[in-house]
This record gives sequence, C-alpha cells and structure tokens, in this order.
Amino acid sequence: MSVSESITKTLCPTQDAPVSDRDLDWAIVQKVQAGNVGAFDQLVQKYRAQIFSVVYNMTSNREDASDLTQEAFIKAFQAIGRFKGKSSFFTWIYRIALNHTMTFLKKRNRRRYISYENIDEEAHGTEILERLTAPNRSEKGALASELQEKLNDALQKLSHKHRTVVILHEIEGLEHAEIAAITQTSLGTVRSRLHYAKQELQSYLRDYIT
Amino acid sequence: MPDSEKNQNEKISVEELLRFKRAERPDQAFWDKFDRELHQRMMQTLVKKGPWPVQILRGLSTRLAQTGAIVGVAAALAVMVVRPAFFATNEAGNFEMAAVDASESVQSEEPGRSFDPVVAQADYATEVVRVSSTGLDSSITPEYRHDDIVLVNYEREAYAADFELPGFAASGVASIVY
Repeated sequence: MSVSESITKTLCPTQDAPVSDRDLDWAIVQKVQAGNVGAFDQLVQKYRAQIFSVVYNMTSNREDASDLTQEAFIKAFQAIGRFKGKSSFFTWIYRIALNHTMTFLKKRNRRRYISYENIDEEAHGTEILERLTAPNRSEKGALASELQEKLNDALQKLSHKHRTVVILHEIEGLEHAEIAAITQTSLGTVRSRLHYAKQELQSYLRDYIT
Repeated sequence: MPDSEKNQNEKISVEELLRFKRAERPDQAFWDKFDRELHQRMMQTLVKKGPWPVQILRGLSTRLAQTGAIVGVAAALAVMVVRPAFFATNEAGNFEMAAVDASESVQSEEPGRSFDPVVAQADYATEVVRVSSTGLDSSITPEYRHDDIVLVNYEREAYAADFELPGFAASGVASIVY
C-alpha cells in the first residue's frame, strides 16, 4: 500500500468498512429530516418489536405497552428535527420510550392492570419449560402460564431502575455499555443495579431455581 | 415448585428463567393493528404540527391574529363609547345656542319639516316653583327658608342619543351601550 493510499484509508475509514446499523439509521433519519416522512416507517418497522418488548416488560400490560410504544415513536418523529446523530437512533428511541414509560409508571402508582402477551411456543426460551416439566407429564401449557405470571410478578416487585436494567440486559440482550448509554448512567451503576436486581429475582423465584 | 414437578437433575438460573420472557411475543394481527393506529396518530400529528419552523410561524400568526382581533374589538368599543360622547359634546353647544323659550321654537317650526333638532331640543323647559314666604300667613313664623322645587330637571346627556347620529352610533347598539 502506497503512502497516499494509506492516508486516504486513514482519512476515510468507512470506504471499505461495512455500513453499520448506526450509519444506516442515520441515513434514514436524514431522509426524514429532509422531508421524506415515509422513511420514518423504516425505523418503526426496525425497532417497534424491541421497543414494545421493553415497554411491555416494564408495564406487564400489552395495551399500555402498545400505546406507550406508539407514543414513543410519535415523540421521536416530532423531535427528529433536533436529532443530531450524536448517539445512535437506537439509543435515542430506547431512551425516549423508557423515559415515557417511567413517567407513565409514576402516574400509574399502585394501580396495576395486568394484561399478558401471548407466549410463542416456538420462540427461543421455551426450552426452559421442557426442563421444568417432568418428562412423563404433558403440562407445558399450564406451566407456561404459571411461569409467565410469576416472572411478571417478580419483575413488577423491582424498582423501576432495577427493572429497566434487568430487562435490557437479560431479556433484550443489550450490553452493559449500551444500557449505560440509554439510561445515561455509568457502567458501574448498571452492573451494580443488575447484580442487585438478580438477587431480588432469585429470592422471588426460588421455587423455580434449583 | 408448587404446581408442577420439575426435573431435579438440572439447575436453572434466574437468567434462564428470564429468557422465557422472550417468548412473549405479539402475533401479526397485533402488529397490523399497531401499524394502522400509529399511522393514524402520526397523520394527526402531521396535521396538527408541521416542521418546527412552520410551527413557529403558525404560532406567531395565531398570536398576531389574536392580538389583531383584541385590538379591533377594543377599537370598535372605543368608537362606540367615544363617538356618542363626542356628538353629545358638540350638540351641547347647539343646546346652549338654542336655549330659548319652547314657545318660540314651536312658532318658528316650518310645517312639513321632518326633523328639526331645535324643536327636539326645546320641547321641554325647566320649571321652577318658588315657594315664597310672602304668600304665607303672617302670623306663622316660618321655620324654613325659601325653597326651590325643581319639577323638571334638564339633563342634556339623557337626551343626547335621541338625535339622529350617523353610522354605527345610530344603529341602536350604540344607544344600548351608551
């Protein structure tokens, strides 16, 4: 590689590098900012399931989660003109959704209406039912409902902050750094909250844990 | 475990239990409804709120319109209040100039004339009945002084709006306000 090629590569590192999700999102955001409102739908399609999942696990109510997710996207749409791309769109939309959900939960106080989502039996995660069920018993359906109820109950017992961290890490599979960026806290805080939350859950779910 | 047996040979962690939550997923019908509702709400947002420069312009124009409306109403009210008063002041001079005996005015009235402000102004007079002590019995010592009883009080302002006024002041609304 010649010196000039090396300089070019150093100055323009993205030329050969694969386009990241962040860059793709930023390109779509710029389209929306330029007036292509329809492009926002691509972002909705890409993130709606993840946002809904977080909000649903935070609220344990599918109707509330649906409303809050829609409202988060509407808020993002309204504020997209001010989005400068300093963080990724993914972090930004998560932050909007979580802040909106927190505000909702604070207003909801102790009133809690539970409305569970359907369990996709083919989804990853249901193998736990096989392990919890005796080989000679066919009670998976009943056990699934029971476990769903217990898990939601246990999560609702956690504080909002601890619930957020455990949902983002254990259910959504986000890295500590990503959670720190979304919640605008330090890595240490994320780890400490996660540790405490898991301990709490362990005591709530001790009947299922060997 | 209260309701079901579990395989005691395998260890299950909190993390594994929580992974079960990933199986709680909405079906396609839910997402169809979600998309439909979201599009409707976004359309409403678009109708209500455009891009921020447009919002600012809209806000400013709305405020300007509101201010204009308030100023307009205030101006109209001011005209309604000030103009009749202005006319009354001007006509007051006429009253004074025409402060003549009512009988003279009646005599000077030309037949067939539909409106004569002089006649209208002078169709009443202030009458004063003076109670004089000379008319009383001399044996009675009056315990009171001379008194004037005003039978008709000339209140110019009370009649000012009865005159034919041009424009809005004569519409009737001005009289009510006045």
